[in-house]
Amino acid sequence: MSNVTPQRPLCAPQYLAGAAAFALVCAGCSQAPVDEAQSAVEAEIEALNADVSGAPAGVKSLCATADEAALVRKFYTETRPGAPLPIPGRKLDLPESKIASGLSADLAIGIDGSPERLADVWRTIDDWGADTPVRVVVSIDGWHPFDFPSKVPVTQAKHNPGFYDVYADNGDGVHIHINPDDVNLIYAANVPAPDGTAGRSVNLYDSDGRLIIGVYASSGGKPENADAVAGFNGTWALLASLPRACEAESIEG
Amino acid sequence: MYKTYNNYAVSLFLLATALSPAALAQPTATYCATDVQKLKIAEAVNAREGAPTVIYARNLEMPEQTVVSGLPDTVRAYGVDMTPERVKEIWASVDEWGGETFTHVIFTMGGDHVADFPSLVPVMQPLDDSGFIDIYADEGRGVHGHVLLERVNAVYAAELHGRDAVTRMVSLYNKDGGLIVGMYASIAGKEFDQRAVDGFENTFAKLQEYPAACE
Repeated sequence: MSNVTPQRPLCAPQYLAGAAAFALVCAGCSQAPVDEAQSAVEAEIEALNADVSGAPAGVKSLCATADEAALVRKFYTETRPGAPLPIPGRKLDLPESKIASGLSADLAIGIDGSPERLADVWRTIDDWGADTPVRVVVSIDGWHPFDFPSKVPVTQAKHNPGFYDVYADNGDGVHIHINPDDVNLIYAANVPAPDGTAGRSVNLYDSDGRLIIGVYASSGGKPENADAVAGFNGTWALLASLPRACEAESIEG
Repeated sequence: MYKTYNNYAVSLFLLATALSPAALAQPTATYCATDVQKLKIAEAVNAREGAPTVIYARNLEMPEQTVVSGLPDTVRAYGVDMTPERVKEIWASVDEWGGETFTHVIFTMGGDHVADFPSLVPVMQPLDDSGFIDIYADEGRGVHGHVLLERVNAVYAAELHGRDAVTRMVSLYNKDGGLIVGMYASIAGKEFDQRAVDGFENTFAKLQEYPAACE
């Protein structure tokens, strides 16, 4: 019988509901130094990594499984077409990255995050125009959504140490400070609403698959701004030119 | 072998316990700063007086609720464990800052990213049975926020003096001690609305009607 401490996605915070549970379960992990324990953990790793093919291991667990994708697509076809992504995230109790990645490839497109890619993508958001009206969305823990009307937050010439800074309205609007090292996925989504409008958003997700910030060029069922829509299409084009983070095609089989 | 399964059973039990409704309703004591944490918090505050508490929390890598629970005596702060009814009562006092009063609404997503939205006070909308309070600013033209009441663990108010100005906030914390939303009546170095400062005092007094979350 070997004496190996399981390593250890079960102990990663993103798989647990809270820090307390994290601490308790990790205590349990460290006390089970046996083959059976390791096998169980390895099986869990395999299951997590089997979510979707084609994505790096760290990203796979943020991608929707086939079953989760089916739930997401049902929500958007039957329950609430065009809804902002935090809503199915909350209703289905899934990290929002799984909502975005569960959509079909014609409705959402995503890439792995990196500081360089964040900068590249946000520069395309800058191109929407500093005076263009958008909505900036946060969804704290996936449970508490806030939707702010705003002008486009644009990249600043200088950034605070450790952050990528985007400010709206020449600094009079929102100030957003993004830790670029924690941007794990970047998705654009274009989900149609029944009235012919669509929810068009660019969303950053952290290592837990939670929304960092979403910039909505349009919201389903609401009037659309042509500059924002055109700008969104530019951002979509950039994302489409890069390797996909979650292979939605594989979900579709 | 038995010990192995037993350990796993214990772990699973602990996990189940940790995720149970009772545990989710766990009071705030988990996030009361220890003496060692208080020393670190005091160092951080002394090094940068008057900063928004999100900054201390990020730099110290502590849940923000822990940080505000352990602010030094030079900072006026008070926190209370929450129930859904208390959240409604506290936000009703925030409403009284005035729907045309200027504030900053602050978030820290995952404790790692910060967003500071200048906004009129988001005012509570008529209550329903959804479990949320809906808070909208500027008669619906501003932010639309939704706070799930049962996931609000605590509310703190704090007044932090910098060299030339004062930061005043009322912040809601989640079950992980993380910030849900911070209502900043003033931020040192930025313009503020005196009506927000006056309102902050009333909310501070309202909180003091309840027992303190941490001794």
